[in-house]
Amino acid sequence: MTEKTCLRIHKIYGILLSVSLLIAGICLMAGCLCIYCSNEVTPYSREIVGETFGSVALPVCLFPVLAVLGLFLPGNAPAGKGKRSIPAGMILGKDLSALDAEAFFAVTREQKGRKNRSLILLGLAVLGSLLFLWFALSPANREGGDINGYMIRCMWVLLPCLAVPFVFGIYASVYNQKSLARQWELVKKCPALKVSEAYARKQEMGRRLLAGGLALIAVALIVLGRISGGAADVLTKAINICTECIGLG
Amino acid sequence: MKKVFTKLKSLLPTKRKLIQLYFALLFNANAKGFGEGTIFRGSTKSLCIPGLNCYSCPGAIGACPLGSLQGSFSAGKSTVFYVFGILMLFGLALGRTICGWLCPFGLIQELLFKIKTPKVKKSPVTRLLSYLKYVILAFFVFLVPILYAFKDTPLPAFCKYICPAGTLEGGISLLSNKLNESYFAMLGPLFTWKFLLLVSFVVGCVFVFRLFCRFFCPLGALYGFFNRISFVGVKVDAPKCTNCDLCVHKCKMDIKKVGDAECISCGECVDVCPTGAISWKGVPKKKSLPEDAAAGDKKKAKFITRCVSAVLMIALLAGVFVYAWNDTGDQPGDVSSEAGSEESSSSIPYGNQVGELCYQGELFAVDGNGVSETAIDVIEEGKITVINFWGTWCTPCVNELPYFDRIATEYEGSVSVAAIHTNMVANTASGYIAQHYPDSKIRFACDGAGEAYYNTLGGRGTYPYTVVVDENGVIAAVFVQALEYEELQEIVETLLAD
Repeated sequence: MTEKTCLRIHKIYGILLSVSLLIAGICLMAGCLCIYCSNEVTPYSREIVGETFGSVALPVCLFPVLAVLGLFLPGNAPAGKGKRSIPAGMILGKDLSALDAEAFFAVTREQKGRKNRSLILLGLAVLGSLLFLWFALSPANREGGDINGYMIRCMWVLLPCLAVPFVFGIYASVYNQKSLARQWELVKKCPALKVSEAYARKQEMGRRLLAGGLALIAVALIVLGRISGGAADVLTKAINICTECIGLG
Repeated sequence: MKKVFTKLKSLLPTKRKLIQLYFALLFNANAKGFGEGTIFRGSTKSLCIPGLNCYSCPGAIGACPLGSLQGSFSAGKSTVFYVFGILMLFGLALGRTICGWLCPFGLIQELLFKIKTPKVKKSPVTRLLSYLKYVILAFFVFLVPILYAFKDTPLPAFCKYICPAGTLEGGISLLSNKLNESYFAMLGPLFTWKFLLLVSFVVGCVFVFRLFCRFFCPLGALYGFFNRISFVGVKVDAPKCTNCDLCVHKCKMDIKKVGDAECISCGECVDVCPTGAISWKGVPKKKSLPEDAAAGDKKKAKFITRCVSAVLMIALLAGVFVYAWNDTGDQPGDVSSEAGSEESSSSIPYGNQVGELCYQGELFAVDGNGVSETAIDVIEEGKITVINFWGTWCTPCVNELPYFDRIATEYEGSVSVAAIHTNMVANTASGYIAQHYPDSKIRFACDGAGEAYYNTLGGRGTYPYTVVVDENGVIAAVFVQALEYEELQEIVETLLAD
């Protein structure tokens, strides 16, 4: 069997497996929704669940069978060939003093543009967060005992607050990649910036001191919490089944 | 034959997979729990395990750090200090190495990713999505639980609305046991939502590497803050690094550089670096034998080290299994000798099922001043008794108490409501009662040591738990789910009509 044939088999198998997985997932979700929407006071019972999921057993079980069959396929799966994106670190790690004035100005302008886009993204994220917090913390929205209703209202408000910075973020990422590609063309022949060993050692020492200090605080918190009975509270919660926490509700 | 052998060899797990599997077994060593359909109740559950592992999983022997953190906001300062201290210590010691090597749910995701479907590669979009977990951390783990803690309502919002580990390891594990038939009555919109979410995550994890870890896990977000300063993990030797970013390209996580907040220290980049700039921090370097030592000696030394490590780890795992199997922590369903010693004089036997006579309980009353020394009889003769087992740490318990209060007031002459708080942390009940139910007709009491009365009446570890007893002391109904006012009223009206 030629390598080309093996790769083709793997490709077809991959598509078949993906489709069967999606079908299995849809069947499980549809089964669950069918039970829930059956308009009864207590829709779920072992018999109904068994009956409903039994009726979708065939498409659901097809997936694991196909997955196991994949172990016996000849040859190897095709290696992913993605277009390699240029990380910003590759540009930042270059010594730009070797560039001529025009190239240096172009690179600096591109980096400034990237910083501006990041700032706009940050601003949108902060604005979205503040708007959302204003809604979430406002007493009028938290009135009444309906926790689930409050959470649903918060989700509806959270979606646009997240969506706007997200959409801008995608635009910024795409534009940044093009900008990085342009910069790379100008800086690829520049030597890499060297970090001195002394500086690296100083940074490492600083990190260790910070970690050591925080570790002492952590130990103190644990001891204080344990003495004051914090461990008993954790134990109480852990040894009793929180039914709503595991979705039984 | 050689091809088959090569194929089999390629299927062998890597060292990291073996360690992940080992810790998944260690953290879920209570094998007995799966058979009995109950959870482990030993004292090791006062310790948090580092990874995401629901403490309602029948096998879990430790507490979930996220669940404990959310619960701590309504429990008090001491609990917050304790849980925060543990999380900080884990983060400082290991950072996100926990995600890559110790987390059972991470192992499940990686095993799902091994299924040979086309994969979604990382991109600037996935990099953006990786910030979503910080939003989830801020909102579901901190903001909402703290807001509701001010209202004396414990609400672990992440566990309740999002966590797939809880649904898979806890919910579905318990439901699949035949002894937990009664749990099906609890299922409703919340279970439907969480089941749909679980299926989405499971399907998604096949196509996207560590979908939940990268985009949704607040525990990973928390540990990420400590990643750069943790004692164990991967590090880059800056003087040797040439910024070729081959490591970033090889990595399946959304890192900007090795060792940042997204790095799970899986170690796959260590071999990729052309200058050897990436290494492990906090891991002792192997002591090599002298240059002129024979190859056979080197092999022997390596073999002996591996054998000793394997034996020690297996011994630890076996020890934990045996401890969990034999642990005499209070298991639900144990009949206490104090409450269960009555003999029935009628033809109806004593028991904890509907139609059986209910055991009487003499428990200490609780009021705004604390647990009193006066014992009360739980079941009042000649009246319908509604016995509700609750806890201040339990969200649905606290939410349904007003309905019991209303029933107790509206049917005062014919119905007696007894609300029995767990014996553990009973001290929290008096403050809660003083603040919310100072003049209530409910008779508050505190359960006996080891939740004796709860166990006697057939409780299997779930709260709230309600038993309705008729005027003759016979159990008329048992509820394992939270009740609405209408449901309570219906059962009371039915019994009064009879």
